[in-house]
Amino acid sequence: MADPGTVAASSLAEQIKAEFAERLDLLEDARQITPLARRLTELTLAEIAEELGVTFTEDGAAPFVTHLAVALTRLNRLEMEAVPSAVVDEEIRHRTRERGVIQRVMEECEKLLDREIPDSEIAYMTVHLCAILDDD
Amino acid sequence: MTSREIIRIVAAGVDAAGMATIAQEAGGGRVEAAALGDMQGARLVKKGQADFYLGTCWSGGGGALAAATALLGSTKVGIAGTPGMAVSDEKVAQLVSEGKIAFGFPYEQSRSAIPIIIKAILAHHDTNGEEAGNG
Repeated sequence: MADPGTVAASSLAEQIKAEFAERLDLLEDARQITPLARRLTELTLAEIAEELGVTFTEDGAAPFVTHLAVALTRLNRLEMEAVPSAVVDEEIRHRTRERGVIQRVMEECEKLLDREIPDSEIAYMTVHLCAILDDD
Repeated sequence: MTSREIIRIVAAGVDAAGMATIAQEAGGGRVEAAALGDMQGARLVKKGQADFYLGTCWSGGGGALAAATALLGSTKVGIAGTPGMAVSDEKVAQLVSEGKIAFGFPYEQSRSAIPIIIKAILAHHDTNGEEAGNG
């Protein structure tokens, strides 16, 4: 029998894939994102949702999802990372928990991207995540 | 003033409602602005039901314009500012004259960037009439 935890995680991943299918299809079809970045985006969302107990919906999380997919594409295509922002750094100065979650999930992505994910990219992902959590 | 003298703007991204308010105020009665999701907003522009698209994200780059680029094509979108490059009159005038109808910039620049973009759009519209934008 399958481990209930594994089944739940798998179900969550499927829900997330379905929730953002239209958005990610559009971006992938237009080559705005790579297939690998899309897959990593879906996995990242599932990991964060499970770890923080947050529900990602198209209404509330669209900017985060698009940002994640575009940022991971930038890294996948070996393009320049996003320019750091002092405003963003200040915004997340005390959000060590959220930053830690992003950092941990991105360490997994680094293995598949074969590239270190810079602090500026971690910061932008964190500020998007915090916006969703604060809205909740 | 006829309805086609009104410029229709859609705002999407971080604090889209705030962006729409700034755009409307900057337009001085010549702009109608609405806050929408990025895909919905870009689709309205594509269908000709809105004239221009303003998009923000925290970095001003890909996320602000990803949906608009996918739906309108890369020739119609322009990055007006990034955290390392403030939105300027010259840059926006150039983008508008090139026929861009979707503009991306970082959320932190919204208050300064949107009036610059609206001013450039209105100036271009006054010079070129209904050929300007998506009208």
